[in-house]
Amino acid sequence: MRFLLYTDTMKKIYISLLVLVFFVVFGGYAVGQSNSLDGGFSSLTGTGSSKNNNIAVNLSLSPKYPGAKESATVLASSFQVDLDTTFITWYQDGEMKLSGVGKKNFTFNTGVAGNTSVIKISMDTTKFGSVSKEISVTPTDLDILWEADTYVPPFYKGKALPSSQSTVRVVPFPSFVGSDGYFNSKDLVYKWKAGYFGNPEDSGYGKNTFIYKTGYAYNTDTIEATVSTMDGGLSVTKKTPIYVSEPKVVFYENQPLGGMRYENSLTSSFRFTNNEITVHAVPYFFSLIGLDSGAASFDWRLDGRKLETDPDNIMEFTFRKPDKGSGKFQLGLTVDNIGYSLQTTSKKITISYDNQ
Amino acid sequence: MSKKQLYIIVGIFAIITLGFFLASFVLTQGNKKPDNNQNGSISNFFPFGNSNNTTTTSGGKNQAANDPNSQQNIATGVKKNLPILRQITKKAVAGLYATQKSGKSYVNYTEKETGNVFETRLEDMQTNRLSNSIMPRISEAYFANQGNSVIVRYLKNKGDTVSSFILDIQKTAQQDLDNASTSATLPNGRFLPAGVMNMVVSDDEKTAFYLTRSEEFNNRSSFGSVYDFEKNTVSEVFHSPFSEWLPVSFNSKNVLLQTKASQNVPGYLYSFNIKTGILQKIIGGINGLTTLPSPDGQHILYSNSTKGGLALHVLHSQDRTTTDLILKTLPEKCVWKNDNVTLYCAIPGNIPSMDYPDAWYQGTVSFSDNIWQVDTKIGKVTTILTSSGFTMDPLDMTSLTLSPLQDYIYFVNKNNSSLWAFEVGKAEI
Repeated sequence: MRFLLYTDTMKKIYISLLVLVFFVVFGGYAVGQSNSLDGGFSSLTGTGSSKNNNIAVNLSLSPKYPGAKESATVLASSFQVDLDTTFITWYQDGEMKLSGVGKKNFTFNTGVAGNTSVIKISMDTTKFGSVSKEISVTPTDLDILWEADTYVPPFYKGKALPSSQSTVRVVPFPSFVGSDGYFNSKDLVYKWKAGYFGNPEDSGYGKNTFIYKTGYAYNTDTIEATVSTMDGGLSVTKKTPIYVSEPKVVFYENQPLGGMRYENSLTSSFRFTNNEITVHAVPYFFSLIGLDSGAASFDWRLDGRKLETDPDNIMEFTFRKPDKGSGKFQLGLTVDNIGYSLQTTSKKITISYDNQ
Repeated sequence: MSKKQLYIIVGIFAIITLGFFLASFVLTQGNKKPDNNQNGSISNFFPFGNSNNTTTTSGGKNQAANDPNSQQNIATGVKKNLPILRQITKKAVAGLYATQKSGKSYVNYTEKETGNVFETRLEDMQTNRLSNSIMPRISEAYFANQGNSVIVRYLKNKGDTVSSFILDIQKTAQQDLDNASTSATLPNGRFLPAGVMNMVVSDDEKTAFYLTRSEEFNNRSSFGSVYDFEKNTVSEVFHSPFSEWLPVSFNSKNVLLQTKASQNVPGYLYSFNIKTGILQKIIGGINGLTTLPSPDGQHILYSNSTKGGLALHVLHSQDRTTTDLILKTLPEKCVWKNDNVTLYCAIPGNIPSMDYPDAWYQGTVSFSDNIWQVDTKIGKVTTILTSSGFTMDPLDMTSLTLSPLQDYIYFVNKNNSSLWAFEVGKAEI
């Protein structure tokens, strides 16, 4: 009985295996036949495949190198098939997106950089039967970052902005993905343009930084970078506006034990709370070269009277409250970064006291 | 003695005993006062001033009863009817750490003027000193390693060079705190390299990621390193020709790096994979971008600059959709709940027309905030704290931190760097 049962089970397994082998062999043959038909028009960024190799269907992409999360259009053309009268279906990553007679164009949104989208066109032709073709689209991306050689205080979480005639470094961050993964930014070719003018000296293989001097305050400089692979297979161009700000002075209290109170600036009018106060001036967005070399002048004035500055500590002054009475005085500071035209600014605050 | 007599004597004794216990119970109930510490009692609505003692707890050796930094209006060691909004310190703090012991919420903090580390139990506001090493003029403090290490950051001499010292609290506590109230001790710990620009502690608190940069501007590079608190090792993991990075989160595999923000400058947020070295953009091209990732990293709260103001959004990383929030604030004034859906945000009552976030970072503008709860799934917003009902001080909240038990929101008032706690568990929603 047990033996018979075993035999029946084995019989079922044998039959199942035979059916499986049949499908694997013939299925594999069918797939092989399908792949062997592959060829025809080669797509721009990936391999194409067609059910019917005899039919030339051309898929072109616009823009040629779409960026990440951008709109891109695939245009189908053929000299053998009248696409205007053909029923066309478009698929994106296997999902049907568009269908209809004469639908030659398909517009879609690309994914993040390096994320490949497979766009497939399927056509029911009267002459050639079913024809399909695929194109793989791997978007490139380019971010243009920059930083200015200007002063901001320690612990400042904001950006150091360029002021008139300050130095700016522009650094592109391309996201190019090839068959071996991401391209190293140093293995790409860079072309730089400041305004309308190209900068061939700063352009070339691996030149992934661009340094220039800004124009005058309140203007916007436009820097353009074109980044390409060595073979030109991938390329992207982007512009970034760089707004030139005005430098400014902000006063803070420097407490003996608590340290610098960068969290709150001194308002235009404030009152002594203790017997003395150390006022620290922060010259935001002045060029560092001038500040570090001592070329910048700090002209402190109390009610218009010039105060002698400690050369080792030109950015702050300590004031003591008068012992008697009440009153107020005006503290002024003019910072001039000599050698940088228009890098100058003044600030005034009123400090009051009351001993009553 | 007959059995009957014995039963009578035992019965009488039992009745007397029962009567005694009954009388004691009635008397005890009669002397008991109403519980003023109940949730929702009217006393909760008066800030700071209530002093109805209910129970007394024993004071610890190192508690800050005589410390000038101890919380105002609250005597140490005495449990009170505490308001839902509490000022924990009068003095400025450089950083805070939310923790819990035996199911009770504690907040640790570093005092700016001394560098001393304290802990306060929220239940009764009892404060203990954890470190008495004098390190004045502390600007920033980052807690790590289950609160046993604090990276204190301060300016070296009169220059702009930042020193970062890893203070080992555990050793300090074991060795020196017996004399804490009388004499200061030398700090235990070690220095990170000079000039660390910005840093972030990893989610598991075992490591910290920090950034340094080379001096020469034209060939400048920034370097990202990981410090391991347990092994006391440093490994360089990141190198970039750009240096204005702000690390916003770190989970030991990925660091989220945000570009420093300004009103008219497009900002970017990238994820840097330490293993593969790949820097991948999460969001970018947004003027004035500042960000706050959710605990699971799947949602990014971000703000962008508008003309003279701010707008707030949530990016859902998985499906790349964005929820626009009707509230206006900076992500630095928010904290995510552990459910990765709920946000608590400090919302300014009025936002004067200025350049943001620049003006707030420069301290040229100050806000008076209320706390709102935000459901980022459906966009529902609810006020949970109107601060003017509790204090006259304008609260410009920053460093919002949720307690591990999710019952308190701690924050620093940027106006004077004082530390506060809001009992969110008792907020009326």
